[in-house]
Amino acid sequence: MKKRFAVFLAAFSTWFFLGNRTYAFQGLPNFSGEFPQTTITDFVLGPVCLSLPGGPFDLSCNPAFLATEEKKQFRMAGAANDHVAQLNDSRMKLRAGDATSIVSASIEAREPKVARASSLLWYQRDWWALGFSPFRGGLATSVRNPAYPEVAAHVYAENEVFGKVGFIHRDDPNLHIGLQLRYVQRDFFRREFDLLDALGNPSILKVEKQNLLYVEPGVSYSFDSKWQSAVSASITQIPVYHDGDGFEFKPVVDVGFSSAPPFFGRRLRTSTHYNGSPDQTDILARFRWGAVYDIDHKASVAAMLGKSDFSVGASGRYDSIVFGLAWKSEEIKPDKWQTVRISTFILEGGLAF
Amino acid sequence: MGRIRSGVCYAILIVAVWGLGACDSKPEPVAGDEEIARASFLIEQKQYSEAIYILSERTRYNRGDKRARIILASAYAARAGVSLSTYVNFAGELAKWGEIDRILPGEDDGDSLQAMVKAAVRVQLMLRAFDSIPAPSRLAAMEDIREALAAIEQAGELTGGPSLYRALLRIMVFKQDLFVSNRPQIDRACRAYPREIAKWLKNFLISLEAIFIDVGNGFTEPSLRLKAAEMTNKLKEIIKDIEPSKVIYEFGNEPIALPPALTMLLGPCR
Repeated sequence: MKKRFAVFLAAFSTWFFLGNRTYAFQGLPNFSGEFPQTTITDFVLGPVCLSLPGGPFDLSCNPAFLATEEKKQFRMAGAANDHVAQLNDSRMKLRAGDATSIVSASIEAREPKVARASSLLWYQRDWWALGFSPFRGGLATSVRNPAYPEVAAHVYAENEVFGKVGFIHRDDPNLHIGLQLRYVQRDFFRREFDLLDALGNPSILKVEKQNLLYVEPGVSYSFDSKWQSAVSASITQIPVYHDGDGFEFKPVVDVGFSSAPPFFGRRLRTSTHYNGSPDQTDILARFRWGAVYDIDHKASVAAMLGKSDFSVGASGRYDSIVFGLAWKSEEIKPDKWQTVRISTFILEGGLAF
Repeated sequence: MGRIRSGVCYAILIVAVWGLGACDSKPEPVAGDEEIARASFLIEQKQYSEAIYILSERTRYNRGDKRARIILASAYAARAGVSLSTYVNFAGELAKWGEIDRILPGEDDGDSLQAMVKAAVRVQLMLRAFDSIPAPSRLAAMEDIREALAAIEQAGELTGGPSLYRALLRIMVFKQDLFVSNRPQIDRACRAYPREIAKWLKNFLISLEAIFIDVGNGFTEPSLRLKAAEMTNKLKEIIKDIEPSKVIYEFGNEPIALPPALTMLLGPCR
């Protein structure tokens, strides 16, 4: 009976959400709902990183994975895609509170654009980690109907401090529980508007500020199997404190099933992942598959495949220097009838000790 | 052990179902419903006639649908060649709006001819102020701009962006009319019938007044709205001074020699 109900629930949810798809914000990604991406592997995996333990020189996204890790590492990493110059320009305009210039630049660009950049330093000692991000930013802009321009723009710049811990459950060593605390200071502009409305009312072009403290729990259960299968879940973007403008309460649920089958003498770590971001109204696009292939402690190759985005990348370490390169392609659906695909290269450089 | 395992599995199932249900806040796109979004898409694809058909049908049955009328107007305007750069130029002109009364001459009393000269100077100055906004030169494009204005005229009272949009279309029609429509005849000696000139000029001033009203309604900033209201009142006074019957009373119904300000506006003497 319970099984039938579950099947019915799944079928109904699929029909309901497929049938009610909307194309808000001209299909641009909502950075506020994204889990912070720190290294090239994270950029490649996107939300899948929440159900895959971090590689030898990465930090696990889901704090529950820290429970069994044995790492003592200090790392600095900076990663950005090929629109880094424009992103830096937007960062300065955000800090100056000049949203009008940001909008002007997006109108001139005309084509939809998505850019992300991140810088981070962290220290991990086995089951805990502390980190600081002096800058993380994103830019997504699109203009629809040039005859009566409708502009969608989301630009943000933030800095962050975080701490995460992972524990093994007392009664069951296969059950791991983790918690992450993140304090974020964010300047942002996120609005969809008619250009002519902004001409008559420039006050709608306003940079907003937020201070947020997130609590993000994670859980993982590993099965006693040859493939090291595990099921994991996390809830991110739960604010316990917020101050400032434009706040939306939108926690995101992530669930994934990971396994590590043998592959060319090593293991291919894979995960089938569900990301419950409410901004993604195409339910099939919420499912992704990601994989990481670690070559000793020297290099990693990662790939991610979803309905609306896919990416591939590699990172390596030489002595204390860490570097990486990735290619990401994501789909923007401004409306029901058109799809714009945006492809970018992401470059990473950093140090690990 | 087994209880913990099944507990975890249930917890993850609950979390997954909650995740599926986290779709409650779906903001509507700016364009509103699917039909208008479809029309906007067609405009973007340069399939103007299809967009015009969809929106004309819609406004026929929903006469008060302002959004549909605006997008319909934009479809006509796009077919006439109005593009994003036009709006960028318009934004530039609006940014100077706060200083617009500096270019207008002060008031003084005089006869109808002096009133017409003042009005001609105003029209010239306004043309210069809207210099970067194009007036389509192709006949078909001119018709489209008029259709666009007609579509949006029926939207009734407008504020904000739509009101500015109507002002933009009015400026285009204003420039078209000034340069292309039938002008009063001027002979080689630069003489013309004052009554004809008064009628012709009055029409333009009425168009100019409508532009000022729309621009005023487009702004939310109180000082800019006030400025637009002051300009509208000034124009009203000038319009009142230019009365064809008064002109006949003052100058009779014979051609008179035109002052330079009027010949500049009316074009070469031939």
